[in-house]
Amino acid sequence: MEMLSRVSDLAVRDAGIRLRDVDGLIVHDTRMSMGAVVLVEMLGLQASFVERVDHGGATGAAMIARAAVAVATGLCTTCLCLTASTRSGSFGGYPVVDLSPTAEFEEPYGGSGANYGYAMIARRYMYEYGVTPEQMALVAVHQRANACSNPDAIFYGQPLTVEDVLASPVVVDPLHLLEIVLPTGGAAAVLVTTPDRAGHLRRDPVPILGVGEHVSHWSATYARDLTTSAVKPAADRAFEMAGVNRGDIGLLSIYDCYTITVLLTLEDAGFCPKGAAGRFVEEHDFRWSGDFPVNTHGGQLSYGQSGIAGGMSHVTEAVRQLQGRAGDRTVPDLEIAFVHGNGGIMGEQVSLLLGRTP
Amino acid sequence: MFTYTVAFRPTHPAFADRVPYVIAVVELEEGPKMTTNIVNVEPAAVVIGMEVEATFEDVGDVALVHFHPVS
Repeated sequence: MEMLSRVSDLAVRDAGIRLRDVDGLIVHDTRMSMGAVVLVEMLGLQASFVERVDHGGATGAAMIARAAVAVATGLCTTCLCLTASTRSGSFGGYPVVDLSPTAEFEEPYGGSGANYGYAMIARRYMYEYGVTPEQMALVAVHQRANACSNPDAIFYGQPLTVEDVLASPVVVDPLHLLEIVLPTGGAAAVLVTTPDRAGHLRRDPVPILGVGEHVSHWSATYARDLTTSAVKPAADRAFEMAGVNRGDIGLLSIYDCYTITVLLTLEDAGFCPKGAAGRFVEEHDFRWSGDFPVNTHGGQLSYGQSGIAGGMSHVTEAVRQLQGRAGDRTVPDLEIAFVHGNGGIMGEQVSLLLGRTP
Repeated sequence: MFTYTVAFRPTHPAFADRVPYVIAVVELEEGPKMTTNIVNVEPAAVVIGMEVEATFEDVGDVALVHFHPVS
């Protein structure tokens, strides 16, 4: 709760407003019943829109989509979207009664957590389309290069090679340790407000051009298709709403819990043909200075996965880039960013298209 | 065999003495898919598409459905 309060304060100061100007609040699971109203009280708000979002890794992006709807429909005028996780993680660290079928039908087989699901997706993807371990490792390498330009990244100053990734222990075949996110602590807050109010803030506002969402399954076992994900309908909806094309995108800030997640998202969001992501990674440079910038903050693979706030980091990085204040790693002449959140085992997908103030 | 992974780290202390073990999704002849373990085979010998058949292991007062390669 202290972390959430602190980032709330940072966000309103950054925007140049006061907490009393905030009349909407969206938060995730706060480890306690009634966490949202407790936050309203702690922050001293009088809110006309309050809700809790539960979309796993896609929560941050889903908060922005919901805040946009609430603001656009007049339910509130300025909505604070809050995420935080301590080192022990908001995904775990407190007693949870798992009422899902996975407790009965998967955990007895040594399947719990997210690793094995993504490993089974990666194995099936290799079987259907072919991708080499070197191509998958390259995703982690590119993103580490970006993290080396971000002093806030947990792996800042620690460059990585393909050989390093492939020499790291296999945790769940075919995924190596360095293809899997590192849980960290952290928090992030984002303010969403009306175009009128946005014009009078301390920072250049970032227009929300389009949003899209698709939720399909919890366990990978019951996914309709393991290798073509629900990223596709979410991204298609966002692009259709925004009326922009894939070629207009200057930055991808996409959820990367594992290297395979990035490959699937590149394909299913329409940036390369199905089955071609392995080659795509070899042919493009994902660094902030490259021809196809992806996860310029390092991605969660190298920035760190601070629980739900890790997912929100893809939003905050895109906003910083579009405001031209990402420091040494600022992407030049950026106009539109594609932000993507992924929750569960590729079953919860939220896409955002964010623009730049003209 | 639809897909699988070999777990080199246990996801729960109860599985600590079983690593490396194979977690898999098998597609039944009747259509549904289910999560299971592949047993009685070296993990390195497991491949997608191989035919497997059910075998049962009593664990306390329940039985788990495992699969092993068709002999």
